[in-house]
Amino acid sequence: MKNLLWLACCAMSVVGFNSQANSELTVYTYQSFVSDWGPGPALTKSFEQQCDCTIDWVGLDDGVAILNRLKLEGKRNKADVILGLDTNLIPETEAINAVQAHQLTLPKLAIDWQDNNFVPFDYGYFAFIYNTEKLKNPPSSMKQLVEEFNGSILYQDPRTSTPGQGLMLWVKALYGDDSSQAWSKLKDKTVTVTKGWSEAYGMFLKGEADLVLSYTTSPAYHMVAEQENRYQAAEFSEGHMSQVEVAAISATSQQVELAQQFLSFLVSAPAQKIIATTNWMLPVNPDAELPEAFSTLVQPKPLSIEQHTVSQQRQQWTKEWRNAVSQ
Amino acid sequence: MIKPASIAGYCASIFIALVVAAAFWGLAEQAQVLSWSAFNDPYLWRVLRFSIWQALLSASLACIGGVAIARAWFYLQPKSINWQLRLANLCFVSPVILVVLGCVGSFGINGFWQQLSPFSWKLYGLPGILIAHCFLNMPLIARYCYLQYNDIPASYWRQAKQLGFSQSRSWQIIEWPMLRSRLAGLFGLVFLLCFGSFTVVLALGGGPKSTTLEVAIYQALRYDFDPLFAMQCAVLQLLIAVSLGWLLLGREQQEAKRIQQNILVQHQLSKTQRRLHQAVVLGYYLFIGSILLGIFSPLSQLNWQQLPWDKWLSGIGWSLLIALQSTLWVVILGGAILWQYSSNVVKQRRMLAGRGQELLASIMLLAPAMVITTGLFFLLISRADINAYTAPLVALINALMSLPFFIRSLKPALSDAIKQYAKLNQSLDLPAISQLHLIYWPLIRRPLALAISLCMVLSLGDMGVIALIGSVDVVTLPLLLYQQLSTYQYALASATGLIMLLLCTVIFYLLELTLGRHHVKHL
Repeated sequence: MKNLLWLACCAMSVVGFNSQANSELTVYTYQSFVSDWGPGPALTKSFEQQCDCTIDWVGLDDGVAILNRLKLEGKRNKADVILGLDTNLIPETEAINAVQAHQLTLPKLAIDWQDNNFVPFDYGYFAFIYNTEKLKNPPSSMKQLVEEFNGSILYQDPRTSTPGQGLMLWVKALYGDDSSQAWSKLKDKTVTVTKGWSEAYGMFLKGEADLVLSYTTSPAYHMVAEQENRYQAAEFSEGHMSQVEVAAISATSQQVELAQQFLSFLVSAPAQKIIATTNWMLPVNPDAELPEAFSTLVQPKPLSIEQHTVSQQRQQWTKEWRNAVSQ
Repeated sequence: MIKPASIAGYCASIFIALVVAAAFWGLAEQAQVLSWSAFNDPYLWRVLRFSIWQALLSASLACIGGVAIARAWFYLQPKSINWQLRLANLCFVSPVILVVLGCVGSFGINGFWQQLSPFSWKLYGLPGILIAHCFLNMPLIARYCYLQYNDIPASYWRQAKQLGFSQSRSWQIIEWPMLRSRLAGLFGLVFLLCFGSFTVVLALGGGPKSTTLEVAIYQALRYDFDPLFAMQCAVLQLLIAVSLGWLLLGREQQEAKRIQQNILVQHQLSKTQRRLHQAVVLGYYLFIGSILLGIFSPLSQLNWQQLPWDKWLSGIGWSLLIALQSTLWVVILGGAILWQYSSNVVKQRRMLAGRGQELLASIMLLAPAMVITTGLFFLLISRADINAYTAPLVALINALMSLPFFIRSLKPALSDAIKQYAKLNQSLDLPAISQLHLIYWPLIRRPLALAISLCMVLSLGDMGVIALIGSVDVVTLPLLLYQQLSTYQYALASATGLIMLLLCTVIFYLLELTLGRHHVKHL
């Protein structure tokens, strides 16, 4: 009786909802990548012209959520390509055997790159963005932001979002064992911690905070798409945490060739131009054409933490953040 | 000889017991790694403290407000009281995500209250949680307290009048002692509901500072992938909910006897007293009204050119699919249990097992849905492709959640009908099938229609289970609404809310039209 019902229910849920095309490339990524204004639509159009396939984008909350998803689904994940993790998450992703070697020869890249599994597709520096018409004296260092700044800030949850995780590492790199105190001070200025980048940036544009965590490249969007100069990145004297976003072929992919083709496409100059001007990050392919606005951006001093240290300490640091801001 | 009715009833009970046991098995498997030292986590205790604190505050506010409204209703005796009570009931069963939307639309940063007022305030965090919990529970408390007020014997009031009691005096001597025990039970119930509240806290919480155990379970699985922490939260949640629920169920038995209706007493009120009571009722409707208005106020900004019809259609599809499956489960399980119950009523047997079975059927009131869901999730994730089972699994858990409501709303009608016609049936020696067809069916059609639509609406409005185990492919209407809300697309969220409300109305109407028609009231 029970089994019969179960079967009936399964049958009911299958009807009408699963229509699979023959060669379909499933890409796990973060929500803002596939939003109407993100790189998703233009990349889809461009790639589908050359591959005779369709791309099925699965937009998850944000970068770290992709890794959580892979852990949760294990070998049962449906992804062919995993796009949108950053270098800090590489060791953990490799440890759960979620990816396979791409076996591609990459073009000459703007950044130093060694990894055999992951392909970088853009990079950037985290920064707090402010509205020059509303905030006259933005903080000029992390120390000023933590100690003296009186305004309000918005950032993303380090448990789901790579920018949020970037801020966590940024604070860690500068404050070390005193990070907990720094977080307690930041807590009082925080409007809210959002799950993903798009929520925080959307709230900032609605005027709900003075500063929002994003990238040094974000002002380029406003300059190019809106001819608007009032949004600028606050340059911090200690330097800015850098981020390289990466993509890889899923270990469970049944369409390795198609996935390889997609990754090659991703680092090609035309795709890189799309990514730079829709994801608003710096292209890894130096041949990609860039609008003028990119040359006016802040050129920060890069900061980073060695990725294996991150992978060992990430859980611990996340707990430290969680405990500090929940007090 | 064992009757088919008993077989069916026991089968249903065993099935429920199996599902619950499977969930606990899933949890226990994870518990191998659970140790006492793991509980030495300050965050866990902070989450527990906040869960209890917000539930205490919510329940207190709801009780204070509820009693004030009940008192005002009782003294004013408005003509529309039946409608007002019905509205209060609707508030309690309204889909929670719609209430969240209403809070954001009215009290949120872009809501009309902040636009109108010179001050600005933060909704996210404790204020938002309290407002939403009050909307859901205050009307319920007001309704039950009002009924309790009506049970105060008229002689009390006559004596109070003779002795010239002031309002405060009659509150102290008459009203409070009569309300006290009822209120304690209601307080406990609301505390339990708020303690296990998921959707409200997830959507209105605003960061790790205001997180409850249920939300922490969700975050541990979805954000950190930390099964141990999810497990710890589930254990704490279960311990507290079960011990509180046990106390509450005990209370319920004592209060089962109904006192008969009294003749209405006209109360003489001074002008200021009357004004005061009117102000309370006005304030109540201002609160309810602004949240209802908040659901639809963002609609004005909707871009009618670009509507996500595909998302809505698939949302409606999944929601209906899950609701229908869930109702199927409820009707089968509930039907079997009620069949056994009615055959016991006919034979005027009171069985010890019956009480246990009823407790089992109410399991979801005690064991929070998130705990059962987490358990089943752990059990299945290591064994099967959980994505393929999402819809049936959500439907099954939703069914267990609405089963107690289904049984409770049908039981009185069924037992009345049986008590009245059982002897006649026996003397006529009608076969069972004709008894059902000719006598009982016409009598229980309407209550059945109501109970089924209640179950469908409960499942249609549920977001917790689907949010925890749902995959990206299965997005029901409430989940879509939540996604739109959390990306600040208020206008779209509002439109989705409207679709949800329309769907609920259509379900009630269709069931009333088909099943509820030709209802016969017995003499």
